[in-house]
Amino acid sequence: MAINTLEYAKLFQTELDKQVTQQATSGWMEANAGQVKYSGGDEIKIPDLVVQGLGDYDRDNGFVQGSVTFKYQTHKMTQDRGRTFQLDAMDVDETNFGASAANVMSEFQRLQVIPEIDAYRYSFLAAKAVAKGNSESYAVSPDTILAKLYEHIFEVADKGVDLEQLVISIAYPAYGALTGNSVLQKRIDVGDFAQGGINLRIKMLDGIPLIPVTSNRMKSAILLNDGSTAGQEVGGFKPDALAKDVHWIITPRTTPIGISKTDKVRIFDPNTNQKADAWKLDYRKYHDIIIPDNKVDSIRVAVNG
Amino acid sequence: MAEIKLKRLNVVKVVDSEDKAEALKSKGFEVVKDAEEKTEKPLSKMTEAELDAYAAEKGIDLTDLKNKTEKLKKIKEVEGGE
Repeated sequence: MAINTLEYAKLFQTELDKQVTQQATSGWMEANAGQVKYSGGDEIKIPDLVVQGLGDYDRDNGFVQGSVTFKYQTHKMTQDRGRTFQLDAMDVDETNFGASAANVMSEFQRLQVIPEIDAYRYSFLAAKAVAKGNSESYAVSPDTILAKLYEHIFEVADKGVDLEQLVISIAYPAYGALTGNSVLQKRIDVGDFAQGGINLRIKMLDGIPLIPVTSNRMKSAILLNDGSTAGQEVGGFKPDALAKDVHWIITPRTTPIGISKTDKVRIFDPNTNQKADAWKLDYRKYHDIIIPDNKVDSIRVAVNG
Repeated sequence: MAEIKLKRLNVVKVVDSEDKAEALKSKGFEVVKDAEEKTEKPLSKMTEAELDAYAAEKGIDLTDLKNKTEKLKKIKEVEGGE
């Protein structure tokens, strides 16, 4: 029994990471983490390739020697979150395995972990853009939203970003104003968007993907509950009282590097659990988002006034 | 122990002890002085230091007042009772 439980935990770990990549609205940011090295714990290594520019070709001496520097930058993931659950052995039987370890973990991720990862990433992007002066206060209106979006899109494009590389993460109220207007609908079509190994059919504005996100995940700051202090037992996150609503975030697909690693999933069956005749499920997640300094300028954000 | 609110870029944490606050500060968090939230706390539950800060913010002179009771009384007089 114990061996099987261990094997299940390994499978869970892989499946849980996959679930985040596929179901988080910010899952596409993890595609940029392909080159990132992770070998457990809170550290990751990000490759950094620097090459020198062109020099004059000399007809006598030929080429000017250039240098290529490839190194790994170590980054500590700042979000180290976890929770433990206990399932009474009888509960598992009596609910006809409805309250099984698989169901609990999957629902925990879907309802608690994924929204928190999304909210963390979007608030990070928004806060970075605000700090850089790349945000604008805007009151959503169906009459002006298209012009404002294009204004921001072209501001990013003017910095040398290919339009085809852009992604617009947009809060539902702004998404509704944009897609619900019959005049604007003509500018919007449906296309494929690859994320986590699956193809999503989503709306696009002149070929730029529009990723709709619930408004409580689109804030400039979030309050993370520690799960133990009085008043924070519920865990998870909530928008900070002083946070601004974020209408949209325009960013090249390659700018944010989203990382989420289920560092530990431990499942103790009732025979192993020393404390109670119950299943014990431990879950620990490291996650973070990294934006290289030279790419912060490619983010454009609209917030409420 | 009063709650301490700290922030690091986009993340806000609320802790209930100085030790926890110090631990977060070592990770780059900074204490948020949220005047809006401070005024939500009833005057009668404020510490003497908080009353001093509140009075300074409101421009109420507490010179020569020696204890919390006197300071609280003065603030309430100026503001017309809580």
